[in-house]
Amino acid sequence: MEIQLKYKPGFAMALVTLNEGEKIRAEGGAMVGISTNINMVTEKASRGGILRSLKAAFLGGENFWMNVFSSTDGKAEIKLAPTLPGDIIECDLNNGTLYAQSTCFLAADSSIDIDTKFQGLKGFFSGESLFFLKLSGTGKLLLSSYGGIEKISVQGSFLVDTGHIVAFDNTLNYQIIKFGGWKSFFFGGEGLVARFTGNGNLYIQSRSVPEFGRWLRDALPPKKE
Amino acid sequence: MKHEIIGKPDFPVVKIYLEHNESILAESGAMVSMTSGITIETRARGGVFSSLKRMVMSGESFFQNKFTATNGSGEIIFAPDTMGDVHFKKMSSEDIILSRGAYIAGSPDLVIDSKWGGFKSMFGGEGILFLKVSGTGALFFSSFGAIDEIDVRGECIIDNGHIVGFEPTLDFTIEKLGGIKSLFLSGEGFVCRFRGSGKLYMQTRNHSSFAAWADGWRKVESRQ
Repeated sequence: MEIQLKYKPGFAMALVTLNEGEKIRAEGGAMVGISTNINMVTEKASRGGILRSLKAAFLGGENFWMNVFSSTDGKAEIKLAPTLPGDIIECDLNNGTLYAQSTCFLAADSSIDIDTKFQGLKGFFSGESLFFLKLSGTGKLLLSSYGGIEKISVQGSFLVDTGHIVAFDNTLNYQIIKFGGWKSFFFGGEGLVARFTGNGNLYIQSRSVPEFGRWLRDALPPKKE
Repeated sequence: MKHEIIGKPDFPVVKIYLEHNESILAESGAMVSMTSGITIETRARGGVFSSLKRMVMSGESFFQNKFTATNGSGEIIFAPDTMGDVHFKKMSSEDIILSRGAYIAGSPDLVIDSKWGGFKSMFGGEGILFLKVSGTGALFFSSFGAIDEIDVRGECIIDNGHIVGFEPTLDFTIEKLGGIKSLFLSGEGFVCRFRGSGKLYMQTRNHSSFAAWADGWRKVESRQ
């Protein structure tokens, strides 16, 4: 599998070349174009029973169903892009585990296992999209960001606004904390932040999805039920 | 007519230098700024019926603005509605098919018509008709995201929402991808299969997906 990232960083697109026998699993709707020797199969997001997939659909925010693309004959090409404007990065997992914010998952080698890590109450406090997909195994992985993406090597401790998290290594621990006093929680717009501790890589994005969503909420007329 | 595309590729504008008595046509709303010696004439191009057809079928505006430098040379800047790239094509007695809303501006010599894409493209969700631009002159069109230019030799499959335009030497059919399960669950909907030899312009983001995403954030009011 070869991956070429084009049109970085504003409206990035991934050009994936598959050899015969290789498979890539992508988020529903991510396919831009394919060569004619590509086969697509729609599968449940995670392996295992229906319960696990339902968990992924409702808690992970990611589509319940994902599409697996494979080559039917020789080298085949597929172009993938996310919905929002922004960048794409490639990560190589080597028998490792990465947690990715559900809206940032674009595609992964089909050998990588996808599971939802339930965040519990601390996740509920921080808004709609603070759910993480647990990606483990060996292979290539594509993450997308809303805005630009920055890789930070955390050594010790680091604070980031929850809406700006893209992904992090499982060697990092995190804790959701209230930033400042109660006054800044309600009025400061910086309510909840994640404090990461340990050593590992953290990927953050330069724009926040829930902040843009809130802006749209105010700008658009309400729907009638 | 000279031009310059400034700020490529994410949020560009096109600056056009008009000689005395030279004109350019543009979509209503595309003008950002201009020098004072330029006059605007708003008209329903090709008559009311043809403009109405263009608006209803291709999503282009009913009125087009004609900008003419009437007092020496002038400069005018145009921008597309959405974020994304601006593309220039020098047309020399040729045709190009553009998808809904991609047209920004062009020389007055270019003929713009709504082209019937056939019943098949109704499933495309991208407007029943494409716009057909023909003739000789400068043409400016926009993409949602970056523009990916493909030289099709043989066959190629593109998601409907990612088509910006193509040369009419290419033929296409609308089809579904995968099995029946994929039709409802894949999120990919319908795709276009292009055949033949010619250029295909593709965009790296999809208007409909973005609009659907934004719609999901709207408040819901219960009916009293």
